[in-house]
Amino acid sequence: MTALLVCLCGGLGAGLRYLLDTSVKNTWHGSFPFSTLLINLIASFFAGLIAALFARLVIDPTTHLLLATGLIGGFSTLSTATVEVVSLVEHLKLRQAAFYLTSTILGPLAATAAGFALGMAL
Amino acid sequence: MLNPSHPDSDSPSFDFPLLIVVIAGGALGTGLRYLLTALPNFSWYFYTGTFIANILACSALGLLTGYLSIAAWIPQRRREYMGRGLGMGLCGGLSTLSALMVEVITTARDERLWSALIYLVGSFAACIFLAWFGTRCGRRLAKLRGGRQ
Repeated sequence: MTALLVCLCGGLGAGLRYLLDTSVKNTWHGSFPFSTLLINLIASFFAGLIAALFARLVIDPTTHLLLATGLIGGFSTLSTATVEVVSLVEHLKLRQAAFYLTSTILGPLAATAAGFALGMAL
Repeated sequence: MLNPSHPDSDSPSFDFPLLIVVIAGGALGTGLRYLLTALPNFSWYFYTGTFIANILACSALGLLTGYLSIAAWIPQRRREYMGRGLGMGLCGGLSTLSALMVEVITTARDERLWSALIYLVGSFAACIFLAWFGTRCGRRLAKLRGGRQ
């Protein structure tokens, strides 16, 4: 039963990712993959927050599982980001590729740390 | 333009059937990742489940994206369903950046900075290499298939 709920939450996360990705791409037509970066920044911030709340036993293990593994896990994506890096390199947009890769690593890292700090302070 | 999330459209618009396909794929991918988290970790600070989910998803998305970029014989609408359902949904749900980052941050908080760095850089290096390799294999497969038509 829990496993089914995890799947459902993951599906919802992926659906939200589709909606956000589509709306960002409707306004941003450049080659730089802003939408995936934005999605991963949001996901990482909330993942850090939930991790801290779970560490402080504010939320129970099932809620943590549904939110962290399910909803946020389905919302964030590494596969799209890596294929986007490859695509930028293949189109010889090397500076963009380097900048995108760096911001995809450092941005979410900072966002997770910030979310975690907030969760610890709340 | 090789675009992982929509292989052959430059002006995305909201599309209800595609949303359903993404949700279904995302549910499957997440379920698979959830199963993989049951795997034992090599050491306390290397998360095997997340790592395997990510390298599988990046290989598969590369393969799919490469294949769809060549496979012009597949009708556009079916290509969209495949790209969204299998790519954005299944691979996107299977891979995760948020769990990876939480794992890195918690490892770093335990003052295991080297472990955190190796896990982070190792994950990205493996995933980018496999995404590239998958893309090449996908294109090659599509060309072979196209050549036999």
